[in-house]
Amino acid sequence: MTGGLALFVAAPLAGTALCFVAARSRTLQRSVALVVAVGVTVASIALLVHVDTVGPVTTSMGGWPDAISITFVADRLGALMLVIGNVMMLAVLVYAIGQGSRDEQSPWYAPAYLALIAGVSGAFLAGDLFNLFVCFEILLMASYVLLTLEGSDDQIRSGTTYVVLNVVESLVLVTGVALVFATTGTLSMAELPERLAALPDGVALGLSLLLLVAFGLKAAVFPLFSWLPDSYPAAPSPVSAVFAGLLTKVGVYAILRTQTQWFPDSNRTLLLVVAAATMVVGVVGAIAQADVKRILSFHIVSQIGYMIAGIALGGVAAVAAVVFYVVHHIPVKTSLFLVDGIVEQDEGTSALDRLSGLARRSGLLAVLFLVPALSLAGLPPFSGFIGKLGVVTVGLDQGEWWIVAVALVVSILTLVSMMKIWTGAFWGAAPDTDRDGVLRHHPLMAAVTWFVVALTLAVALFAGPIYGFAERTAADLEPVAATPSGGGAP
Amino acid sequence: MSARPATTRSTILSLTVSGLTPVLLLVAVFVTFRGHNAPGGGFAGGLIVGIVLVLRYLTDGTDAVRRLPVDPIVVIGCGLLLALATGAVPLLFGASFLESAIWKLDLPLVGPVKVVSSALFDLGVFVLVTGVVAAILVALAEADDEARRGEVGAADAEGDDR
Repeated sequence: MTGGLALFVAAPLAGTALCFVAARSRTLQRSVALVVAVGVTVASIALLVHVDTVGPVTTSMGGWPDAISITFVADRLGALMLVIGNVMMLAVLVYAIGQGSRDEQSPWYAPAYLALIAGVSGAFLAGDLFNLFVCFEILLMASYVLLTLEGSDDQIRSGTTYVVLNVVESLVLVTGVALVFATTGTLSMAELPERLAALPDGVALGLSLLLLVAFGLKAAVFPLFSWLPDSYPAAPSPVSAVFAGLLTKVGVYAILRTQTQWFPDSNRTLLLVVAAATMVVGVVGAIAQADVKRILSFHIVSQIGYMIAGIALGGVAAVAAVVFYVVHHIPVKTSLFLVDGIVEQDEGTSALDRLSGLARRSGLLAVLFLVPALSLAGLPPFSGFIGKLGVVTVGLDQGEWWIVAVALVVSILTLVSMMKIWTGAFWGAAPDTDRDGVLRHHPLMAAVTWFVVALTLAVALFAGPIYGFAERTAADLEPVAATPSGGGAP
Repeated sequence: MSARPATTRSTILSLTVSGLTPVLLLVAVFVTFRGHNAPGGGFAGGLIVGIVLVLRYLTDGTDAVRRLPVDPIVVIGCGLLLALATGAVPLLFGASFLESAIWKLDLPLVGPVKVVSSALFDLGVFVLVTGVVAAILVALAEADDEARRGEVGAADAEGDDR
């Protein structure tokens, strides 16, 4: 297994190459994409089991000495994210093939999608900071293509903002990478915690803030979020579904790694304030919107706040809560966008004032929307409740009552805006159109949406084992953080 | 994108570009292979080939890139495939991904030459970048031609906006 982890990036990239060569045939492109996506998904599940039972896996590439080699590492956190990422991207790929929208017909779609898989997988497996940067670039390049493939005026406008902001982010990140290397002499994620701890406080603080700005922009946290609700709704539904579910979470993953492992116990107050502001601004923005996609996009921002709050609180319990929250959030968010895709496919719009009475026409679709919507708001039987409970409990334990209060109020507001979609689009009388009966959409789209919604229910049903895994993951991340703070609680 | 009437084509530019083309292509190959230990490499080499294509576009108009013998998208794929294959082949010999093999040869007349397998990786990058520049130019040429057609049939363009 000398190739090992490299294959999680190399295989999708090889798929990209084959899709380019087979540009003439859409069928061939789709087959290649499906085979590769299924392959990496199965392999990543096997990797997760291996990592959990045996231990972390490391692959060095290029045959260079350790300090400068290209390294991929799969620990519990990385392997877990890899599995969720690959499962979601496979599901959305099938959904997009079913939908067969105009951008999916483009010869650039399948290659870009596979490159996105390569970038996301690489980011979760990167064993050094520079690799992380490179994988961010791969996924960004792919996302630029996917976001603007239709080439509509709206896409070009919001795509320009997206590209410019992300180029700035890359600049900040590469500056951060260079400064980390200049001050510590290494970029290896394994060596950095020790080396960074030896730095003077001011230098470490500067580095941590620089990386926080770069990853924070990617994760769309409070002052750096405005690009997200602008650009995601412009993309076709499957693309915005995968972006909504995964891309911001790559940023959260990077923040989780850097803040808990490299800069423990710094920026706590800053992160808490940012988290609270992110939650509030996201949800208030969502309430103000009148379009399903835009409401959902603002909710991504709001939900990121909960994850950042958990990261800010710190300690094994908090990190476990964050890991569980991410696991719950990715399928929930993806499924909401997939439902919106079905609505949009049939109605040609996602504006609330032009939708009505969908529940009458398709009760099943209403259920498909309601389950993740209630989960997002954090109502008890669903996975969101457990995720929020975890963060709130840690907040109470650590005496940060105000972040708990903010989190609870935001939960209620989330429910309010979800009900806004419900009453606007699903409830009420069906409009007087000649299109009665079920919504017109490809059966694959419904099947995939069912699958992802079932996944969110499975997260709730198997919350015990998943939370147990999250705690083991948090314990993995902890030893480094535990040395200075001695346990996490203040 | 403003359409360029054929009458504005410059003979001097045309002849200069014809003369420069072989030189630039040679420089591109040189830069690509010198890139192993010195500034250069497949990316820079590919861009230089891209410059040739841009110059051709300037002199011959959209025809220069619309009549390419192969679809640029296929070229991109071949380049990426070559680069990845260079990375993957070492796995067959039990080495790590992307590890480079080095052969030292003593060629007659040329003298000692160091050949590295990673040169193939650079070649892949070279092909890929060339394909990307060509693909961009083809997209521009399509927009250019469309704009020209749009001047003839304005109704068509209005339909697209909706």
